Order: sequence, then C-alpha cells, then structure tokens
Amino acid sequence: MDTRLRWQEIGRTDVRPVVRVGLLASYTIDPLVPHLGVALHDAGLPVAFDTAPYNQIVRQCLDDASEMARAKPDVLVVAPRFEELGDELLTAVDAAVSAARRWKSFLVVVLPAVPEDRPFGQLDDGRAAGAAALAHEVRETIRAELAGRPDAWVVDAERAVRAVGTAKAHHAAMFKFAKIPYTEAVFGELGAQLAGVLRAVHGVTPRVVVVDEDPALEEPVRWLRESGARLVVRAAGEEIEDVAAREGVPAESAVLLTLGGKPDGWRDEVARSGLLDRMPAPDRAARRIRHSARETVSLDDFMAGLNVEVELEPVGPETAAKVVEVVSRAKDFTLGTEKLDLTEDREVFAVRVRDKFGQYGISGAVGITGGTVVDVFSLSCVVLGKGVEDVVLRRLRDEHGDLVFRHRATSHNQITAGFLTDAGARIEEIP
Amino acid sequence: MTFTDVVAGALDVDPAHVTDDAGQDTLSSWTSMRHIQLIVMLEEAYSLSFDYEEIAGARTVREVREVLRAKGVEV
Repeated sequence: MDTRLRWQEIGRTDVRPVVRVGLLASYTIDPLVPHLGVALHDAGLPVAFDTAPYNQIVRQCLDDASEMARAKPDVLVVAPRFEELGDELLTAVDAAVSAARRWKSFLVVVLPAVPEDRPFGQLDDGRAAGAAALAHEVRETIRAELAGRPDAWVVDAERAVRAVGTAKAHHAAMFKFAKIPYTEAVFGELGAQLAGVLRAVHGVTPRVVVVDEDPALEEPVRWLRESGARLVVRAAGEEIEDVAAREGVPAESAVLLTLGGKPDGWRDEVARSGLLDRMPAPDRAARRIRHSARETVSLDDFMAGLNVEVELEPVGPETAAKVVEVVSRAKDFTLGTEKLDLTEDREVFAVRVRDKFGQYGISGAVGITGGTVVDVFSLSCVVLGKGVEDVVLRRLRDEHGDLVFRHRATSHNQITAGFLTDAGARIEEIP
Repeated sequence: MTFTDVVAGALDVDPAHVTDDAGQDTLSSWTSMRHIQLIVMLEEAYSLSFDYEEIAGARTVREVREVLRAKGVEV
C-alpha cells in the first residue's frame, strides 16, 4: 500500500520521465504500475506508462493503429498467461517480438507461471500432455528464442508466484470481477524483477553499498564484499546523498541496505537492491526448440482464427437483467450510457459473443431510438479486441441503414469515439 | 496505514479527496476494477474477509466505512 501512495506522490511532482514503458497482458496488469514505477524512480529512471486493454496482446502488436503502436514505448513489457491464451500464447509472443522490432522497443516478456489447474489431476505430472510439462516446454521455447536477442529479456511470473507462495498469490474475486489474477504481493515481486532488468539495461545498477556499522551484520556484509560491491560503512545519522557525494557517485548509484535483525530477510533485500544483478555470459546461439521458422501471423489471420460469432437478439424478460447489468458495467466501450431504462421507447438488443476460447454470453447491448438513433452501444471489456464492435456496427448498418450515434464523452470511453470516427459513423455529441 | 490511506491508495486519489461523501459518482477513478482492489486491500489491512455481496453495493466512502464498522472495525 505504501507503494501506491508513493506512486501518487511521484505523480504529483514535475519529474520528467526518461523511459516510456508499454504494458500488454492477457489480464489486467494495472496493479503492476506503482510497483515498477516506484522501483524505477528510486533507481533514477523516472518512468511513464502506457497500458493497453487486457487480453489484446496480438491485436495491439499487429494493428498499426492500436494504442500501443501509437505510443511506440521505449520498453514493451508483454505478460501472457496460459489461462487466457492457451495454444495462442506463442503467437502472442511472436507478435510482441515483431512489434518491438518495428517500434524499436526493448522487449521484456514475462514468462507465464505454470497454471494451477491440472487437467489430469494427480496424474498430470507424469506425461508430456500434462499442464506442467506443456507449460515448461512453452516457457523454455520463449526463453530460448529471446536469449539470442540483444534487444529482449525475460522475467518470470513463476518465480514471483513462488516467492509469495501459491496460497497468497491469487484472489478469486479479483480475477472474477476485474481479471486481475495476482495479489499485490506478486505484482510487487514482478515489479522488482522488471526494475532489475531495466536498471541493468540502462546501466544504473548500484555502484556503492551503504550499511550502518553493526557487528551483528557481519555475515551479510561478508556476502556483499564477496559480490564485489564497493562497500561503505555509514556514520550515525549520515544521509545517503551525503555518502554518495563523499564517494563521488550520483545519489541514485548508492544503495542503502538496512539489513534488519531478521536474517531471513537479508538475501531478499540484497537481491532487490540490484547488487547481484549482472549479465550472464551470452548464449552461444539462440537455441530454437521449434524447428520451423514461423511466419509472424497477420492481424487479419489472427482475427479470422478467433472464429468470433456475434448474435444480436431482442431483449426479453429472461435477458433483461443481464443486459442492464452489462450496460451499467461497461466503462470503456460505451456511448456514455450509465443506466439502461428498458421502459423507455427504444429497441434494445442483447449482444451474445463466443469464439474459439469459449462462450462469453451476453457481453453487450445496443439500443435504437426512433429507428435511426443509436443511443446505447455498450460492450464488456472481455470481448474487446476481437472485432466484435465491427461486426455489430456492420449488422446495424445492414439492417437499419445510416444511423446516428448519440455519444456522451466520459473519462473512460475514448476508444468508443475513436472507433466510431474511424468507421465513418455519424456522431451526435451530447454534453 | 489509516482507512483514508487504504482508500486513497486503492482508488488512486489524493487522500484529501477521501471524504465521506466521495463515491463512485464523484471520483472518476472509482471504477469497478478499483472497487475490487479496494475490497481486497481492506481485507488485507484489517485482516478480515467480506462476502462480495456485503460490500459490492457500497458506493461511497461513508458506505464502505459503515460496512467496516458493522464488522467491528473502528474507522
């Protein structure tokens, strides 16, 4: 929690970011922002973030008009999970590699954690078809493909989950309602890993280690000396900035280790400080586990491969409550409709969606007043990025001709206006 | 960590804006995603557990406070 408040405080300062980081994930990755932002800020790398809607990795990477394509971040962090992407996970990584090359971004892929679910129960670990074996094969494929690249690295969600402990790594409600699969503690670990990589990439690993003089800290101090760190013992009350100045290094190059009374925490503190971060010897050659060089999938191929099916059906008594709920929850793709009143004189259709990954049920709604004015067009986040909005718009135009879309801007629905504008729709803006 | 700090951190607002009357209608950052994060952070901060329905309907800071008080938390 302190991290979130600190990130807010940093946001209120006029520090100019020196690095732009783009975040793409198959889940809601926003909770990572404060952890990574504070860690990089403290390392002397003020950062700004661009975060795309969740589960749109391939589309964001392949569509030159996507939010992330326009942002062209210095660093592109891509975090796919098996649970959302299944067999498409490597496609997402391929698309990310391609995008990073086009945008000249440094790519960091978050290796996906091994899924908790085991389709073969207790027998899952004994065959290559088990979840763990498949996951490790894919993880090593990604690592091997990126290991030969000078402009890419990986961090590991599995390590983050293990550090926190599986029992404390997930919160069912967070995932069910917000598509956030990990707890704050896991995002904290991931933020520390990513910050370590980006510190190294930007050459801001610590140069001076400062510790307080304390005979009880003999053991960790010995580790530090063995690590080759330049160690300085600080006088009582001396500020870290003063120590750095005395040693002739920038303040952000000096790291203070508090090394409290519990030895259990020493290694973790040393690891987080960045002192142990050093580049391993490069792989002699990229170990390609996949033998065929795959063509990077095109956006059209990817969209076609999703097999998205969209149905519009008039709202009936059995679907009314769900449609009202979907409209009230839609924040990003909406004409600004906060509440849908089904007693008003308006044709209302429920939007049902399914694709190769499964059924999403009622995932949106459309309302038409007077046969010519669309004043409700809301879609759930879970179906965005699949081309559902294009299909709905096409159907509306086929069946109703030229329509006017009555749009009210909110703090979240910019993508709706952008979509309608790009589609050449007539928009009536209302205050 | 005070109740105000927890709410401010979860909703990404200045602590000065965490007044009893503040709510989903007045704080644009109070989205459904942040509402869930708020619930989880309150659970962690006060070592308690909510039934989702118990707090899903709390739409203002005052209502969140009332839910906590009903569970014996002094806030």
